[in-house]
Amino acid sequence: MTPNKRPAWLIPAVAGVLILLPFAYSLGRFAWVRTFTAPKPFLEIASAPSQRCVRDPKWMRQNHKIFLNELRDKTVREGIRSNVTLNSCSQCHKDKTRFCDKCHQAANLHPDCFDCHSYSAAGSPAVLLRGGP
Amino acid sequence: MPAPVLIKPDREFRNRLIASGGEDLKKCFQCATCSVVCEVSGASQPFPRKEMIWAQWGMKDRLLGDVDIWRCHQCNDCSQRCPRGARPGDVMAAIRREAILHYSAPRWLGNIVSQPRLLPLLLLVPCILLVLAAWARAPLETFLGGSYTPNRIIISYWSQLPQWLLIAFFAPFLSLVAVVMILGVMRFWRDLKARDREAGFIGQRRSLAASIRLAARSILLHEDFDRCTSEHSRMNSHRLVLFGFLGLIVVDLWVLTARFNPLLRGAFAYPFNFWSPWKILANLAGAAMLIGCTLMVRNLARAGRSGALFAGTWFDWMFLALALAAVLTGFACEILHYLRVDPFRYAAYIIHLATVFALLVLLPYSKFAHMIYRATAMVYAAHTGRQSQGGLRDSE
Repeated sequence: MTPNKRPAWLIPAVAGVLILLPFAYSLGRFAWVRTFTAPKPFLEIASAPSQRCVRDPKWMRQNHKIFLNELRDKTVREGIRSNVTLNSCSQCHKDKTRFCDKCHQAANLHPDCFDCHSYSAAGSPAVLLRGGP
Repeated sequence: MPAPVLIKPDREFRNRLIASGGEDLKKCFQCATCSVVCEVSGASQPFPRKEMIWAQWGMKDRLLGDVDIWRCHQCNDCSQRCPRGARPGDVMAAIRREAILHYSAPRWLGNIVSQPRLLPLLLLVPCILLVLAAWARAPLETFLGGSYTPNRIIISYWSQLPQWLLIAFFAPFLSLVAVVMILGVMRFWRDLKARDREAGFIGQRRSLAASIRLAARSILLHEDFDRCTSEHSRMNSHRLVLFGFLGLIVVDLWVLTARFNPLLRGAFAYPFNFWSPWKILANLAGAAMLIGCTLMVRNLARAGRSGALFAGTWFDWMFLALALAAVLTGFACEILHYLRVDPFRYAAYIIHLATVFALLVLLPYSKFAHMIYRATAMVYAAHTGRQSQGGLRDSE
């Protein structure tokens, strides 16, 4: 047996800490965001209530991300353009900070849509709010 | 007076041992040097002398249900000091291989794993299955509810193999593996108990919970490896591989929960940023496994050249090669992905998945199974009071 100056538990302990660290990080950040940085989610009501959304609002609340991703994929991969765009959302939901951002911040989400796309009613093409893709 | 022992030699079994690494087994003349020099063996019922004579006589039932073949960590102190060059360490390894093939049903799968020429098949079959799964994705998606299957909540490495498809692909096979492992361990435990009844072994029993704690402690601290003299460095490589493997499993299980885990949303969303603690853990664990496996390859190759020590059989090399291949293809995927090298990153991904699949599905039939049987044996040894005998030279 070779003389072993390090305590036997040292390496397992280091491995254990390394393995548990990501859990602690995830939990900690989740708790931090929930407690300190999250505003109460609040959805602005559409400012043009006479018009109807392209889908049922309840469904949209859950699935708008899938919906938008599908639209994106159809456009960039298959070349099928839709009349519905982010800009057409802004026809009714005018204020991004009060519509999109409120919920995204509350849920600690960072969608990359707005990295490229602007969200404004101005300059948007004429949209059909009925129907969809 | 004990009942007379009727010996039913199993020549075929003995010949298999001789063919799979135990070729010097008949040189043993029962001097018991091995049992004396073994640092892991207990004071009562020492090994591997008794296993050597059982092996010479082909006493299959005694060997398969013998707890001591698994308490051996193949330090090879015995093989080095053996005056006859019978290499008890290698014989113990050959017996363990037989035990794995015996307890993990179905046997034919184990036989395939233990044949070198069928290795390409082991990798080709999962490759073909994965390509088929990728090909079946679109019809399946339509069948499961059109293009609105929410498969883009998690951005796939490759959209042809989205997460739901991989889970659907791996889960049934891994469930079968789990069943095979549980059944194998149950049969093994029953045989261990039967052997002790036959031999009339009575030790200071411990509770099962305490035994599991003791065994876990021993595994994590590598206490038995630490007792090795002639190949003490094997402890380091095994430690790297074990903890690397644990790290990778933890990351994998975490990523698997991405669909419903609230902690995996928003800024933590999969795929992880390179500096995300999860990614760092995965990369560190992969590096640990890579280094550990490389050290193992080096150790075995060096031992093979010297001729005196254990050089590994096909059974050892295949497991090592699969583990190494899984890590290397994993890193290849990562690098090719960061460099966006199409289509090689997808090819690397398929090969990586196939390797991981082969590694996990063959778990009960390859040397990987030492994980479950050795752990079981260590728990059993503690449970029946064997551990309390301790090594002959317990430190402190």
